[in-house]
Amino acid sequence: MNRRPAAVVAWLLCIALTAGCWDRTEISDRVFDLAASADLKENGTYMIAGQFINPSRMEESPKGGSGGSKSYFIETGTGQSALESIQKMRQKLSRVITRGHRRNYYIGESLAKNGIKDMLDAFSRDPGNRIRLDMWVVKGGTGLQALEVPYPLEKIPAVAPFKIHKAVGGTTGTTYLDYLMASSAEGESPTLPVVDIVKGSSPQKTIRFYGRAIFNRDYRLVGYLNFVEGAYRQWILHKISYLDLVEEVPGAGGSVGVVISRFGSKVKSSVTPDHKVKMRIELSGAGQIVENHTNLDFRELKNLTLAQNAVNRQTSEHVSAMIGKVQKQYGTDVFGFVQTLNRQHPSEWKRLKGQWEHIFPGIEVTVNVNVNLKYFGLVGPPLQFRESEIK
Amino acid sequence: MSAAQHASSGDTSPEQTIHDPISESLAENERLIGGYFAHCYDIVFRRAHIFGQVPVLVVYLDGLVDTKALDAVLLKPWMLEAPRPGLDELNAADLMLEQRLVSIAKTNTTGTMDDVVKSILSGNVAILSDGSAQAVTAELNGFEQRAVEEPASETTVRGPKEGFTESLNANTGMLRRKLRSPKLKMESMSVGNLSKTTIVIAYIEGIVQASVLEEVRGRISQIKIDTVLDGAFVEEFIEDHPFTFFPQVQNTERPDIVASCLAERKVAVFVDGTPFVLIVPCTFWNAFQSADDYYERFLYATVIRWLRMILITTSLYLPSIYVAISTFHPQLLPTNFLISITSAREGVPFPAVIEALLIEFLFEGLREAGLRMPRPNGSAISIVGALVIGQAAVQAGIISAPIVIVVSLTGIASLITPRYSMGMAFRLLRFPMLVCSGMFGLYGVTMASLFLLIHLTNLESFGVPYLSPIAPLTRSELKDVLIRAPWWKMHTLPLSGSAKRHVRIPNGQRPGGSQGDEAS
Repeated sequence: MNRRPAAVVAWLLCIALTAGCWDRTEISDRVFDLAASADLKENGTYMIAGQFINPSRMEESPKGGSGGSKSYFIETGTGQSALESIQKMRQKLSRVITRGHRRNYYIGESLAKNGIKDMLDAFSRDPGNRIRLDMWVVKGGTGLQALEVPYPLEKIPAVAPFKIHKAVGGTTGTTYLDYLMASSAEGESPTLPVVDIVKGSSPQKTIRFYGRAIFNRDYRLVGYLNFVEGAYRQWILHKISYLDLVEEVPGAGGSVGVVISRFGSKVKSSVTPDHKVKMRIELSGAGQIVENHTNLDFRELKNLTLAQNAVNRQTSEHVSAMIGKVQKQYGTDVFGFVQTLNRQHPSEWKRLKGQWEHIFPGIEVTVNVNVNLKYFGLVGPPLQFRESEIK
Repeated sequence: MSAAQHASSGDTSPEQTIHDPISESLAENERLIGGYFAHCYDIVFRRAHIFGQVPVLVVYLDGLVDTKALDAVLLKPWMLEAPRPGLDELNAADLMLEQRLVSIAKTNTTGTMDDVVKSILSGNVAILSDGSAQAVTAELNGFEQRAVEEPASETTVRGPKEGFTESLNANTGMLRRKLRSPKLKMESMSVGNLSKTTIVIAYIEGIVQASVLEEVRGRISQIKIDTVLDGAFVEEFIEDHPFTFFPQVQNTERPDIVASCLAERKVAVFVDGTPFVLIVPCTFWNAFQSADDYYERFLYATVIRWLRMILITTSLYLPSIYVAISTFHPQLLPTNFLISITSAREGVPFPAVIEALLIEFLFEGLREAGLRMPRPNGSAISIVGALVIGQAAVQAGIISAPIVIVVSLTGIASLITPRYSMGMAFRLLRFPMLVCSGMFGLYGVTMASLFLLIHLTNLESFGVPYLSPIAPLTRSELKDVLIRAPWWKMHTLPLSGSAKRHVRIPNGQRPGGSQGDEAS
């Protein structure tokens, strides 16, 4: 009895200290990549690159980073497949790659056009990849180029597109998941957000949030929606938190600028007796007038109604045009119409299943934007106007 | 002579009673007592004649007796005053002696030498008179004792500021002042062959759990030990589970805590010579309750109680979670936080777990040094501790800054518990927790916590499960565990079990309007 506790302790110590089953990896034995890129080279091989944190440089940067001491570095690897490229990259790294903090993944335009199917498999099989990831298509460039752009505001430039995405009112952290869900759903087509590399105000290049890339059912890039078009799409899908609209008010000599909040969206499907599918989209929101180039005094209710109707009518037209473009030009359902029909008319859906690619371009879509202009502040007409100019 | 030999042989052998009777001759008595107290310089024999007629012998131990009072109350009247009428028959009538000649409140008449010796040892004055086989013992305690002070180990902002002292009588008196009811019972017993320490078991008749009281009586009467110098000596004999870090007996320096515990069906054990009183049974949730909880507004007390729970949990888990997350699961950290940690840990030679153990060890060392060192050394310890550990080690790159922050946070959190002995359990347990997390990450922390939980549910204090009333769950008693309900809500006594409910605060006393209480 006396010897037993001591024996248990000794036994536990032996297990703990000699069996070598400590699978810990110190934080200083890991290298964290915050962004990575995948490209297809001209000879058909993959090139994977990663942007890694350089922890010892991170410390120095607050003291005023002189040239050459960047807080990150980029390493690349080339191979026949994604895995082989990563293997090549690993040969150059002294530490274990940890992807738990990777938020951005750039895909070069050429790879996107060629299809990202093969890459996705290796990607989703690795448990080290986090699922809350934003994948980006680099319009007119390679992923590596996007990685190499030094962004002035952030210590690690990879954080920039993620933050831009958030700041312009998008939903971050879900694009990879959305992509997988959309591409595995019957009839739907996946999309990814897009960045492009532009000249900033200084001679330096910088990264810009461009819009949305549309993929077809074969995981190939077919085209782009620009920023506003992409925002309209997000509005339909209820994934937007901020949008500016500038619309002309006919007969008032100018345009009004509106910031929209409290977005709402309803998609109603119907099937006509001759099996034509119809979609009716109701978009709503609350608007605040922040720019007034007209001569209207919004303290008058009729003027406000006039502007509101103009904004609604014209925005409806724009949204319709965007949907028309997707239907005619790309023929890919990126609006979740197929889901809507499935939910609202399950019996019809069963009959139409499998033919969606042919049905989608011919859907009759009516868009009705209903923004309620609620706030215009205390300033009615532009302050610099003379009394006589105001209607 | 035989008695002296008797006393000196086998001094720690159990209970040697003296069988000599009191002799009628004063000289014989003096010889006997002198024999028991051979080689005791502090024994005093004082021969006197009452009113110049009756020879008496006053025996006491110097330093235990108030000699001034002895002079004023006994010796002076006997020697200087003329005999009062009716005292002519003074030939050693003990009753007469006790009732008319010893003007002291607490006296006793005894016929055995054993009692005489015992009472001399506990600070009484023994008065033997010629021609009588009886002795009178009078309590004239006058030894030095500490004044009543604010308890150092359990301070409050509001509420009573008095704390127990080393004197048993003063302590029981303080309790009696708080509970002025004849139902407050205090049973005295003596433990310790050498120390003969008086132990008082206090409880409230009719409220106390009879089973617990029986258990306490039984366990204390079985203790065989030479000296009892503090409640801890008793505690180790009466607790249910010796091999655990968690105390199953509460100790306190505050009379108000003892009073409220007795009213909550518990039993208190006073030990002479220590300001700490033991209270049983005691549960785990005790660690989060402070006397101040009941002296401040109940909403505030609830918030503070939660703060305590969070911080005590922190003191147990923070270093292990830091180690687990930074070495096993870095993806759980926010990115910017990770960047700060990686850059701080860059170039540090030790693995995080070794680092954490090292600094925790150092912190415990500093704490212990601060507790034990002679007071004037305090500033040296704090300067060396703060500078060497806080600054120099980080600047030299031997340890990283985050672990210093983690350990200091843990250190503060571990000292927040109002029950010092409970806090020690958490302080010690964080070391095994740290080892588990260093080996298996969060999985290890989870496993260690499960083992801890199993251990805690197995503990029991005098028949009361250690985690009660949470496990097993007694809904009506939760009012004073996770929250501190207002007094007008605490209708029933805790530890009631299921059988009978003791109502202590009747319903319908909620102030503020006629909304009324439930069932009112």
